[in-house]
Amino acid sequence: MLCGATMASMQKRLQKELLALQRDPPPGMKVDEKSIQASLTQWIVDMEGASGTLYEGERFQLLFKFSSRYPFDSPEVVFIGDNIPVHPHVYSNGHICLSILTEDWSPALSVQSVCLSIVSMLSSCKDKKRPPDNALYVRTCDKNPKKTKWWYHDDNC
Amino acid sequence: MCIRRGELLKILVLGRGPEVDIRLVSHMSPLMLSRKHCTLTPTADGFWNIIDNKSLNGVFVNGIHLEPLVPYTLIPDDIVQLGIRLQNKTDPEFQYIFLKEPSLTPCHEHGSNKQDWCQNKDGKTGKTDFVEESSRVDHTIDHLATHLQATSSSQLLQKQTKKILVKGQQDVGQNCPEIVEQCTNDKVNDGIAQPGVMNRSECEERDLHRLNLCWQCLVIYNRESILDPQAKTRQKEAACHTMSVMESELQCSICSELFIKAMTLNCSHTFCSHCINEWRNRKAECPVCRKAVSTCTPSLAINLCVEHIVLGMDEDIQQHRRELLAARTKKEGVCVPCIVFLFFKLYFLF
Repeated sequence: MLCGATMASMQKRLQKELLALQRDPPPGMKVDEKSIQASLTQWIVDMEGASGTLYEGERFQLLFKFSSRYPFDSPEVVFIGDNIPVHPHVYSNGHICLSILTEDWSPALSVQSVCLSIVSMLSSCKDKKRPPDNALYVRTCDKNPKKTKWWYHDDNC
Repeated sequence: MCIRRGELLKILVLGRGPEVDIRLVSHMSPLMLSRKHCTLTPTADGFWNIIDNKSLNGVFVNGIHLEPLVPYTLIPDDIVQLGIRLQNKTDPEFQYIFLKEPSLTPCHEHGSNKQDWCQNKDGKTGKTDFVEESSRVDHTIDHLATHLQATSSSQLLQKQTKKILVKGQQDVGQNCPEIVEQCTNDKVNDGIAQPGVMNRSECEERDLHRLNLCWQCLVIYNRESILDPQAKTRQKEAACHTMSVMESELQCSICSELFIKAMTLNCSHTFCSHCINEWRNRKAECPVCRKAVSTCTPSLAINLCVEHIVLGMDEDIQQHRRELLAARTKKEGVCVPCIVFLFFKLYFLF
């Protein structure tokens, strides 16, 4: 059962984050307003690869899903759409291997800071390739990336 | 406030007490002004002196605190401030600009005197500029009306101004009924008498220099009333600014609400008690800096500050906050382990 206090805190936070993202979005980002329902539990953010990087000119879509425990629980973030970036930390089903989305999540982080982290993760890529275990993972993983036991070993990318 | 120099060279006492010439009542802080705060003295050579009567909050001219009981001679454009500026206000409540008003220089009706006087007056330019008295009076009354309009935004001020003006009218009325009659005929509806209209016979008696001085009009405007629309906008802006600062600084970074029962961690980051407890159940580190949590202390100052601010906010916000507080308290109240613990305790007691 949802607790009233948690629900209220989640609503206010999401409203505030949405406003901030609409008013002052990070470069190349845009919230798809049509994708947002009244409950604010699911957003789609359109993003562009930063100029001067391997992803320049490419367009991606990020799907954010918020549970009723947000911001204590991290949002579920995956790439969706036709163009999934080819990156050592992004699986071809859109799942992202990023520590702040699971164990390093903090309630002080926000949609905006997650977007920035993902852009910076893409921007620092030197070699466009899929993760080595892509085929196996995509075949066996849960639909929800948060159910995956991620193993964060590479801090360079 | 408009104070004009009359021929009587009357000393004016300003303050909040009952026995002053101009009573100033503060709406923000009742004891802002002293009972006999300061004295305005017209000097024989045509100036005004201001004296601080050892007032509590002082008299400031152009921002400089005057020495008590030491007269200061005002010059045009001096900014006179009575009392101090309150901490939460941008402008002091009693601030005036000292102005000299040359346009009210009168002309005298009597032939020879008029000529002499005008020549004397305009001697430097070599021009005599005579206007029929009636039209002149009209002009001055119009002028005065605009002054009143300028100051009329504050009712109190208007009353004071009227009082001064009426006093002037009485003086003139005793000495020179015709002029007053003329004024009344001309401008009945305005309800404003012309305090500056001089007693004709007395004017003749005095030497021209003195006459000139007597007619010199010194006007003190209440700066606030002139700049009223701007001041309001400024106040609004200031209020908006305060709101935005509050929004960002007194907000819990977890729930984005103004702090409810603020708790400060050992790393100096502050959160609502409910939010940080919820988070600590998962991870004992600061959500902002990730430092391990060792202490969690209630912040009385922040709580009081937020409570005071919320009291001044809209009813909607207050209601929202009450609901939130109730929801959070309720949640804490129905803590299952606590109830189980209580149950066991009671069980073992009996």
